[in-house]
Amino acid sequence: MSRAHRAGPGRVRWAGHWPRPWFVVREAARAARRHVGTAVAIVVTATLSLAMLGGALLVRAQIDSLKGAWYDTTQVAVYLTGDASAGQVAALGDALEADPLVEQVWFEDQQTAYANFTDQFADSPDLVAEVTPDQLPRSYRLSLVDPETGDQITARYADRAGVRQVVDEHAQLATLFDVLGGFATAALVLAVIQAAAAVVLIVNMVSSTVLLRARELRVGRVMGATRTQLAVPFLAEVACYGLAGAGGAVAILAVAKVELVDQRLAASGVLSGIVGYVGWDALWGTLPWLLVAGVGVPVAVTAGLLWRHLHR
Amino acid sequence: MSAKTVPLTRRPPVLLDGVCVTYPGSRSPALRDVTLHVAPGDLCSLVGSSGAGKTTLLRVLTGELRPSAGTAIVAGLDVGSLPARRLPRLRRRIGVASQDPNLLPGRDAVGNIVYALELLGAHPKVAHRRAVDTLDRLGVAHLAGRTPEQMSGGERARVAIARALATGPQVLIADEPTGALDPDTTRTVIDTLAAAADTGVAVIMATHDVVAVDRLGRRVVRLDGGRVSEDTTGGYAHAGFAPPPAAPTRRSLRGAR
Repeated sequence: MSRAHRAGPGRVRWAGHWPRPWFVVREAARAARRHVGTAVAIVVTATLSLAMLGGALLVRAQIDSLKGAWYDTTQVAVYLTGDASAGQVAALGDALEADPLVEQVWFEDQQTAYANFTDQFADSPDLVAEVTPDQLPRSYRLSLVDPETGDQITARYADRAGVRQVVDEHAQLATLFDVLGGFATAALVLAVIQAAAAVVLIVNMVSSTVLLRARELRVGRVMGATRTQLAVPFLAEVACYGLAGAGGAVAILAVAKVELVDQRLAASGVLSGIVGYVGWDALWGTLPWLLVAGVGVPVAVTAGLLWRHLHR
Repeated sequence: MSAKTVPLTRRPPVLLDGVCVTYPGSRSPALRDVTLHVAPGDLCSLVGSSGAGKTTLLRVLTGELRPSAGTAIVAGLDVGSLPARRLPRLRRRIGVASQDPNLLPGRDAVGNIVYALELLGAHPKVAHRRAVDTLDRLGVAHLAGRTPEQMSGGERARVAIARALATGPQVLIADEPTGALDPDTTRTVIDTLAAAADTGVAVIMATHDVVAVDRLGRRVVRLDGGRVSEDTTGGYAHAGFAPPPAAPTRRSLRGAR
C-alpha cells in the first residue's frame, strides 16, 4: 500500500514559497495585455493624480524658496542725520558690530546710496535728475540673526545721537510673508488631499483587477498555492502600474518646469536675482513622495485587501 | 481499527472515522458518524439526494470544514487539527475538480496546467513536461493546444481533471463533474476519472448521475440524512468495505505508459 501511495503521477518538487520572478513578470505583462483598457486607465489615473500631487509639492517648494530669498535679503536700515559727526557714526558702527542680534553691518555712504537710487529709479530719469548725492542720507544696513527681531533694533537705536530713523524692511514685508505662508500651507494641504485622492483612485482601479483575476485566484487556492504565491504576482502588477504612473507624473512635471518656469518665468526676468526658481533637485525631491503615494500605499492597501480575501 | 491506530504506512489516502459535522446555528448534524476509507486506485462515487451531506463530506476532505467529532485524515494530514496556514499543503496533496471547470480563458489546455504548476513554484520546463504528460495519460492529448473557448463542456471538464491531477495528488475530489453534461459527454468525463483512478489516485466523485455510476460498476457510497446508508461495489449490491481494484491492473497500466 505504501508504494501505491506514491503511485499516480508522482510528486513535484515545489520551489519554496515565493513564485519565480520570471513567472511574476510574465503574468503581470499578460494581465496588462489581456485587460489593456483597464491597465491604460489605471496608469493614466495614476499619472494625472500623481502629477497633481507633485505639482502641489513643487508649488510649496517654490513658495518656500521665495520666502527664504526675501528673508535673506531684507535688512534693517539705520539712517543717519546729515549733521552726525564722524565720532557718532563710528561709535554707532561699533555698537552695531557688537550687537548680538546683528549678523552683519554695511555702511552705505552718500555715493553708494545715490548709485542704488539711480539703479532703482532708472525708469524715471526726471526723478534721478533732480536728486544729488548730498540729498541722500548715509545709513548702516544690517542683516539680523533673526529677521523677526527688527523691532528690538528699532527700540535700541532710534533715539541715539546722529540717528534719524530706523527702518525695518522685514516689518514692512510682514503682510507679504503672511500671505506667502498662507499659500505654502494651502499648497501643503492641497498636496495631502491630492495624495489621498491619488491613493484612493489607484486602489479603486486596482481592486477592479482583483475581479478580473478572481478566476486565477480561485484556481490557485484550490491547487494549494500559499497566500504569498497568490499575492505576489498581483502586487507586482499593482507596483508596475504605480511605477508607470510615477514615471509619467515626473515627465509631466519636467515638461511643466521647462515650459513654464524655465522658458516663460525665468526668461521674462520677473523676480530674477532675488529668487531661485524651482530646480531639478526639487523635481527629483518629489519622486520619493510620488513613489510612496503611487506604489507604496497602493501595494500595501492591495496586500491588506488580498490578505483578507485569501484567508481560508 | 480507528483511523489513528492504522499504521501510517498503511493509511489509505482518505480515512474518515466517525466523522460528524454540525454547521454553526444548526441543530441537526449535516454528517453523522461517517466512516469511509478510500484506497489508492479506488473510484468511489458519492450519491444521495440533495442535502444528504455529499457536499459537506467533500468540504471536509478539502479542509474547508473541520469535523465536529471523529477523525478525518486526508493524504496523511489530520484535517481536524490542521491550522489554516497549513491548508495549502493539504491542497497540494489533493486535486479538486468542481462542476465549474474554472479554466483560465485565453490559455490553451497546456497553458492552464502550466499556470497552476508555475504558481506553485515549478520550473517552467518541468511544468510544461508534466502538463503534456498528464493530458496524454488521461487520453486528452488532442486538447493540448485548444483554449477553453474552443472546447466543449465535456472537454473543459476533462482538462480541469487533468489540471487537478498534474500536481501528483494522492486524492482526486470531483464535485458534480458531469453536472451540466449530456449522457455521452458524461461517459467521457467519467472515463477520464476512471483513468485517473487507474494510475493509483484515490478518486471520490459526488454525483447525481446514477445511470453513469451504475454503468461504471465501481464503488458507490450512498449518503442519506448525513449517514452512510450504503457502501457497495457496483454489481455486488451489499453494504460494507469495497476492495480496491486489483493492484496488477494499476501496475500493468503504469508499465504500459
